[in-house]
Amino acid sequence: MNQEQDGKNIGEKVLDAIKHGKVKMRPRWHFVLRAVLLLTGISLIFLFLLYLISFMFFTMQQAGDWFVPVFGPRGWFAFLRSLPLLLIFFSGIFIVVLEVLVRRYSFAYRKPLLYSAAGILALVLLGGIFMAPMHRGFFKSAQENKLPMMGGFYKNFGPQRPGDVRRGEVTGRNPDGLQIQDVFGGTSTVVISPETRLPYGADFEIGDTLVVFGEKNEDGVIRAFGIREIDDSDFDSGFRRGNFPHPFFPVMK
Amino acid sequence: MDLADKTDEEVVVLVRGGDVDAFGTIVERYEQKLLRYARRFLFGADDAKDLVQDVFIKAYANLQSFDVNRRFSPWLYRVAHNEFLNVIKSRRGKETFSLFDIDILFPHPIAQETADARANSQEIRDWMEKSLKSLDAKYREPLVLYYFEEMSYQEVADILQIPVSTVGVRLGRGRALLRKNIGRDE
Repeated sequence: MNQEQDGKNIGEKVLDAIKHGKVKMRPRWHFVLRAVLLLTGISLIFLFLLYLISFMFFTMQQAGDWFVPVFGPRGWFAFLRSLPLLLIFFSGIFIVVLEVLVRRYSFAYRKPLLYSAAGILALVLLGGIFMAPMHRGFFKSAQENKLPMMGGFYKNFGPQRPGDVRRGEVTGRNPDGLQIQDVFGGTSTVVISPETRLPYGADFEIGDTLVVFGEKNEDGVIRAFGIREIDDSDFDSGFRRGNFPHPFFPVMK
Repeated sequence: MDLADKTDEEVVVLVRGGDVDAFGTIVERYEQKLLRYARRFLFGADDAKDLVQDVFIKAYANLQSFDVNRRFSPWLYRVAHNEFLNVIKSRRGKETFSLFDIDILFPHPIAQETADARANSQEIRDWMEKSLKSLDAKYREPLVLYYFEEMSYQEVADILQIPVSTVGVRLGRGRALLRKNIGRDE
């Protein structure tokens, strides 16, 4: 009896509120708009993440750090030390935001968070690797001053960073080693010793692109610990040709 | 056809078409269920009736967001869950509530209820009546939804927006805690 009275009161109050206009049903477009905005937000964050991560891969490829794990533990150490921590930090924040937004959908929240987070991570990493060559075009345009907005960003953040890894083109040969020129036109002398780790049958020619791993002394001479040749064009269109510029098995001649 | 013969989803279509009185049928069908849910989940909630009234008002305001191809009941309970969660958040100090729970992070094997467990449902309900207050909200709510509201794992997962396997984990832990508390009291 008491329950019936309770129910009647609630029902009456709710219907009164509706009939007197105190509560209005939100129109369908309101929810459609919200869904569209959510989807747009997810898409934009995903695209921005792809941009950040592909840029991260690009800078590592461009600087040569991407290829040094082939030189063993010392190469791995240099690789880990060269990781762009700021970009990784911001990418991590965007991945968390993306995860929060995606978990509004039943396909995501019905599964453990680890699955959706791993899915997002796999997508942005794979997408990032595939999109990395795009930045080479932007970088070239920036060098030719044809990239008005982002030009400075690419010129400053892009390629060479201080460290034991250098990427450059062979411009000369001498009895002790090679001369290489980086993308900015700076030259370095590379000394090759019997201890230098070289690919089997290596015979570097002028015009070849190399990654040189070794300390640079005060005279600007690099005593090479290891050298690998990479094919520049493979980064521009390699994926289309099926060549995968893997950090540990780089495209070598 | 009388409204009583129509499904919830069919009644919602009528309400969305402008038949405000049809919403009264929805209120009639769910007011006792939601009052029971509120009183068990928010034990000691003196204002359960006001809260349930707010749930219906919010449900009406957001009715256009309901997908009529899905079941209405979990959707309404989701509205109620959000409303009740706000109450729990406002009870800071009296009740713990965390935004993130490690249970949703990792996969767990889904241990569906066995025939024995089903047969013991009444016993578990009795334990809950005695000892529900002692449980955290995160264990209390799935127990209430599963044993009193007779929702499936999938429906509980949709209401709480957590993985289905996590529902099983929370039900299992909730039951274990109830058993422990009952044993201690006796």
